[in-house]
Amino acid sequence: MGIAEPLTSTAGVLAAVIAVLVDGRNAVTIAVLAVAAGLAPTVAVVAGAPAALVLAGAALAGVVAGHSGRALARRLPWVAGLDPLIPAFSASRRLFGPRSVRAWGAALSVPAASWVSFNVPIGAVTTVKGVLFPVAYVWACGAVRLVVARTVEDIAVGVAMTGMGAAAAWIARGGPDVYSGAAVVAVLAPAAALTAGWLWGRHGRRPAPEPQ
Amino acid sequence: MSPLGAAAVWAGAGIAGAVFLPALRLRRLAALVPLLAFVAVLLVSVLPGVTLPTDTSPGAFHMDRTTQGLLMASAVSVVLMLILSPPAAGAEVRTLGIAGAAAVVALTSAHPVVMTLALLTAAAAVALRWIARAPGHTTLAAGRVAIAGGAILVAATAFLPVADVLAGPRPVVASALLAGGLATLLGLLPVGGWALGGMLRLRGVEAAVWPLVVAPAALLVAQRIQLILPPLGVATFGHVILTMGLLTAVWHGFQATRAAPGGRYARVLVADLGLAAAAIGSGHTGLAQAGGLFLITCHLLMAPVLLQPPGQPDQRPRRLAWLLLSGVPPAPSFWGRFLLLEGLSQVSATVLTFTLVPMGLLFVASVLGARGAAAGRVQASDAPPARPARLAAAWAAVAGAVAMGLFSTTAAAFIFGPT
Repeated sequence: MGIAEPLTSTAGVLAAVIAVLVDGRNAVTIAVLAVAAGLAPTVAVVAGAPAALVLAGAALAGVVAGHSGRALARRLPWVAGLDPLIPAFSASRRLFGPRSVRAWGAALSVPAASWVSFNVPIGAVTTVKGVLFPVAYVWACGAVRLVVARTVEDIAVGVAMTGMGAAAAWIARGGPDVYSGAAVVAVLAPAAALTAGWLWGRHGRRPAPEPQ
Repeated sequence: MSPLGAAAVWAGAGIAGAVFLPALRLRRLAALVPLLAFVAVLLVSVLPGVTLPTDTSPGAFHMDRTTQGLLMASAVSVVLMLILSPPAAGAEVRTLGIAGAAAVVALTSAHPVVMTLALLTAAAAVALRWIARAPGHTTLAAGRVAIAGGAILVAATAFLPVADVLAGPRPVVASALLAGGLATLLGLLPVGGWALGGMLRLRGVEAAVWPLVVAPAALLVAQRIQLILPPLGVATFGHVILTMGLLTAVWHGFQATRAAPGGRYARVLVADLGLAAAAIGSGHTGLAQAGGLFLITCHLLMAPVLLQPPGQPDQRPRRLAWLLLSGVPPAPSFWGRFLLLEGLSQVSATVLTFTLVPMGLLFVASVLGARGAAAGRVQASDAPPARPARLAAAWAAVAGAVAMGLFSTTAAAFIFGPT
C-alpha cells in the first residue's frame, strides 16, 4: 500500500509552518526537528526509507550541536557576546510583529512552491515531477525567514530550514552522489544550531563580580 | 600541497592568530596569517584547464593557474590591509581565516554543493562578524541578504546538471537561481545595499573581508558558472546579471560623485563590481574574464589604501590611488574597464550607453576623491607621522598598481598565467 501524497505534503507544510513561526532560544532545535519529521515521509516515498536517515541524522546532529555549543560557550571566560535573540533594529514584542510577517510570507510561499513542484522537473539521471511540494515549501519558508530576519536566531533558523530543504531536494534529485551531496548540504542544520547555541552560551554568561 | 591543504592553512592560521596573537600582545603581526596563506596557495599543485562544478565526488579539488593568481592577489591585499590598519582584533583575524579558507574551497571544488556551501560559509562569516562588530539595520542586512544569496546558490545545485536540458523551465530556474545567488554575494542585489551598508558602518580591516576575499571569489565563480549551463540557461543567467550589474554600476557611479570622502571608495568598488558582473552577462566570456580580473586586481591593490578612514598622516599614496582608479591610461583601471566596455559594447547601443555613463561617473568620482585627499593632507598635517611600515605598504600598493598599468599584458600573465 502506497503512502498518500496529500498526507506527506500536509506533514511537510505543518513542519514548515512550525519552523517559520517558532521563536526563542531553542528555535533552531525545534525547527530542525520539525522539518526533519515533516520531510521524512516525502523523502522515504521518493528515495526509500534509508534516505530519511540523512534528515534524521542532521536533526540529531543539530540537537547535539546546539546543546554542545551552548555548554562549551558557557565554560569559556566571559566576553561581551552577541545576543542572538535581540532584534537589531526594532522592538521584539509588538502587535503584527515578526510572526505575522512570517505567516504572510509562508502563505505566499504556497503558490510558489506549488509552481516549482508541478513545473520544474528534478533529477540527475531520471527526472521526477510533482512530489517536491513539501520540499520546495520548506525551502521557501526558510528563505522567507532569512529575508525578514530581525535577529541572528532568525537567520540561524532560516539557514537550518533551507539546508534541510536543499538536502531533501538532493535526495529527490538522485544520481551517483545523492547521499554524499545530501549529507554535505544537511550539515547546514547542525552548523546553524551550533552557531546559535554558541552565541546564546556566550551571551548567557555574566561577568564575574568585581572584587570590592 | 592540495587545495584543501591551502584552505586548512588559511583557516588554521586565522584561528591560531585570533587565539595567540592577542594573548602574546603580538597583534601587529597579524599580517603573518595571510602571508602564510599566500605561501600555501603558492605551493599548491596547479592543473591545466578550468575547475567547473561538474564532479560527483565532494572530495574533488583542482586549482588552475587563474584561481591561484586570484587567491594569491587576495592574500597579498589582506597583508597590505593588515599592515596599513591599526592592529586587528582577534575576531577580525579569525573571520579573515575562515572566509579565506572558504574562498579557496569555493574556487577549487569540482562538486557543486561543496562550492556553493563554501560561498555560503564565507558570507556567513562576514555577516556574523559585521553584526557582532556593529549591530544594526545595515549589518543585519548583510546577514539576511548575503546568507540568503548563499542559500539560493545551494538550492540551485539540486537542479544541476542542466547542460543536456535544452528546453523547459528547469534550465531557466537553475540559471536564475545561480544568477540571483551570485548577484547577491557580489553585492548587486539589491543594488549594492547590504555590502555598501557594511562597508560604510565599518572601517579598514573590519570591512575588508568582503571586498578583498569574498567578492573576488564570487566574481570568478560567476565568470565560470555559465560554462555548465545550456544555451537557454546562459541567456537567462546573462539577462539577470547584466541587468543587475548595469543598474548597480549606474546607481553607485552616480552616488560616488555625491558621497562623503569616507564613503566614496566603497561606492566606486561596488560600481566596478557591477560593471564586471554586467560584462559576464554580455556573453563575451574571454573579455569579461580578462577585464573583470584585471579590474578586481587593481581594486585588491587600491582597497587597502582607500578603505582606511580619511585623514591619514600621509595623503600622497591615497591621492595617487584615486588617480589610478580614474580609468585614464595608463592607470590599470583603464585596461580593466576598456576590456569590459569592449565586451558590453557588442550587446546593444543601449547597453553601451549604460556602460559609458557609470564609467564617466567613476572618472568624476576618482577626481573628486583625489581632490579630497589633497585637502585631507592639509587637515592631517597635525597628525603624528605615519609608521615606516605603513608608509612602505601604501607605496608598495600604489607602485604595484602603476606597474600593472604600464605593463598590463605582462602583469596579467604574471598574476593569472598565460591565457
